[in-house]
Amino acid sequence: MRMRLTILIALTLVLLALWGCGPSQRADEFNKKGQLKIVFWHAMGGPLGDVLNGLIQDYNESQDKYYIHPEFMGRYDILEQKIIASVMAGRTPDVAQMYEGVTMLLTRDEGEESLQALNPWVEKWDGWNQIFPAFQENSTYDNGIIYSLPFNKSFPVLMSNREILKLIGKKNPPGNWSELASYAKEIHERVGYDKELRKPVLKSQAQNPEDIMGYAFAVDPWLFEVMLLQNGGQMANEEQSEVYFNSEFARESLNWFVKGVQEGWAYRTEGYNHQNEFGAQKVAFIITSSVSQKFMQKKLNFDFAVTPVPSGREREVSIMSGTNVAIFEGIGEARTGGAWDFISWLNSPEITSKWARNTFYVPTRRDALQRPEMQDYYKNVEGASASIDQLEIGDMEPRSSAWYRCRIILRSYMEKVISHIEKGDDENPDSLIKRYLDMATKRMNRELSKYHIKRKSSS
Amino acid sequence: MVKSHARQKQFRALLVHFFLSIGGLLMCFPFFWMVLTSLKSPQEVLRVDHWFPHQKAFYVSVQKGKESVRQVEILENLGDSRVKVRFMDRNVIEQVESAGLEHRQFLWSNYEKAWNKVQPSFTRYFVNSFVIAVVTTVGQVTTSILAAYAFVFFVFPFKNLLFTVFLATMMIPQETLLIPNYLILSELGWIDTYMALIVPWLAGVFGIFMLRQFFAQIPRELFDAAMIDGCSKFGFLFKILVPLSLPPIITISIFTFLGSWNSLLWPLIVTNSQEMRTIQVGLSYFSQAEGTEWELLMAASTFCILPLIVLYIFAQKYFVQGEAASGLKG
Repeated sequence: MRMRLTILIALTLVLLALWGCGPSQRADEFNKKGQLKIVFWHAMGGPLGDVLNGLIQDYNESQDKYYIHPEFMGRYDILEQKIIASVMAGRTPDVAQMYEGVTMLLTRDEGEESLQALNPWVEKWDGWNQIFPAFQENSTYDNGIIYSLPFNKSFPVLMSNREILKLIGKKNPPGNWSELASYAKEIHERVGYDKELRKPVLKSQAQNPEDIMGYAFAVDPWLFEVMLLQNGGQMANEEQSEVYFNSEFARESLNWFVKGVQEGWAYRTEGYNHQNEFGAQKVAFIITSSVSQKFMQKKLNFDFAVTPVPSGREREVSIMSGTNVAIFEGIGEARTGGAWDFISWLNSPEITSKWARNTFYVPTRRDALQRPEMQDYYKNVEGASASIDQLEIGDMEPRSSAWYRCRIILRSYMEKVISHIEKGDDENPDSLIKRYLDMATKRMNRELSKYHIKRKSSS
Repeated sequence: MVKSHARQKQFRALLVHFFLSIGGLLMCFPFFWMVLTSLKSPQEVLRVDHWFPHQKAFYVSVQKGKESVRQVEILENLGDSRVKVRFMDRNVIEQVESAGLEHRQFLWSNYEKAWNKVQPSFTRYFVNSFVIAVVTTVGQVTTSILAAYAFVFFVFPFKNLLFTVFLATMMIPQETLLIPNYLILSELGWIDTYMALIVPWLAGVFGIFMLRQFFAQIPRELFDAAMIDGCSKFGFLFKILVPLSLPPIITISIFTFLGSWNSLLWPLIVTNSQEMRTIQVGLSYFSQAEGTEWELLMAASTFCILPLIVLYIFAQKYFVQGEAASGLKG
């Protein structure tokens, strides 16, 4: 018994000793060249990761004060969890890529400032005035505090198979939603895929061609929101405490997709499969992030066009996507200086233009567009202008951390509507859309109300 | 009569084997697709009209000492060793020297590309995954044996309550424990070390539960007889109980090894440096939110799955027994 007690006490002491031995925020480290180490967490893999690593190498070689140590975190959701955990543990990186919801969570929501306000740096920087207004707004929070600089920003673009367009006698891709619907319908009726010739052909000129669909989509609130704004609706009130996804504008927007599925010229795919279907020439049009072109272009062995997201009835507007870069609190003056040097370097005209040209993200500042290599890219590379042209009409989704949950709710109800239509349920589509959007709005407003109550009590 | 009965039996066996073979082939299909895709070019991956990689033309050039291989479509022979081609990756038509053209069918180079695409390389990821999986497996099997032994053969206060609490922890989703566990490891200073990747997994309730159920079937009299004959408690465990329980122990080992080998979220959360990463993290590099490099992902998946296939070949019997006993698929 005494022996057991001794073992227990010894174990407890070891655990207590181990508990106390964890280091807090890391100390400054220097490499052999005497450069200060700046840790940067990101989630850019594949070809985008290759480009980013190349840029970081350029930065490290371009000066002798700092060196960026990139740490790849796999996916955005994992990066987000890890950022939150590192803040709680007091062992953050120096800089990280993050969505606005995470920025809000780390600054405004909990009443604590885990990120540094960049205003003192921005005031001394001549680049801020050149940043596109949509990105300035996206990085600026209550009371004009700037918590981030833009990093990887993209817009939705329409990809069209030009060879199929030619077959139905169209020179240019559709410019608005009703054109897209009518082109897609005509293609579905008149064009098929000839397996022997291995290309799309007019059904009237081929034997047993396979069906080609007009438009394929993944159920995603992004496009639905773009359409809603274009039709004259709004997503939320100014305080972002209430959403309006059951308005007539929202119903009209969702109805566009429903009609496509009902009439047979559109279909939904899982995840990013619509990109694969487009590459396999099973579908003539898809709308995807401008960056997806980076992954797709080497797979497309047919003539294709990339144009801005189709325009709507009332407003010229689009919604940007992507993350910003922010600097953490408590990393010391020297590392803060290095972190700012790096993120402002990423937003310099030369680098943001290089990033855009190699990834199909958009440049973050106006003067980057004046650079000769950017002019050349804009004029000569398919798809370059499609996203850049949306920069002046860019809007954003609500930024609160509760919005992430709202987005999941909205997507799940959109999926329910599309599933009912796919199954051919008897219910009138208008009443089906209204019923589900009412339910989604109610649930989202409940989430937002909980969030605002919590926020008020913590501030 | 006897002959016809034997024939009937033979026919039935043939029929059963026929259907089993179809089932087996269907099961092999994803592997077959994976290997074929790993040998294709990016353009071919999306082609729905052929299964096998076709002969393709490539233009090979050397720029700044680096070899560049790009798939082309030959449009026209212009004479004078010049050829008009369409570059598939950018859809651009150009005239090139015919000497630079090569024909290839199976792109084995995808394996080399995938292996070297991640930093530092898959070699390091393999070593990490292997070390972590082996140590975790040995540790978890050891703790499961000890805990199950105590739960079955010893009498102590709140034994059943404690076991119920153990079982209840199986219902807590791992995702909810990520941040609390991260905080503990961070306090211990174990982030970005093998300790963080191994220690939290050295005990598992599933293994304890499975072994406890198996040990409970072993007659208590065996334990009593061993004690009367002067055998120590550890002596009974290692000389009698463990040899009798080899099938469930091997099953637990396999499941633990597979779980560790396939783990993605945990290694990403508790490691920062590339040197500490595992093969699943390496695989995630090829599949991003904006798109996937299928041919490289499939090549990397092929070499990552190879050790598991070898393991399966040697431990087939126990995989089947494990699935039957636990109701879980590997």
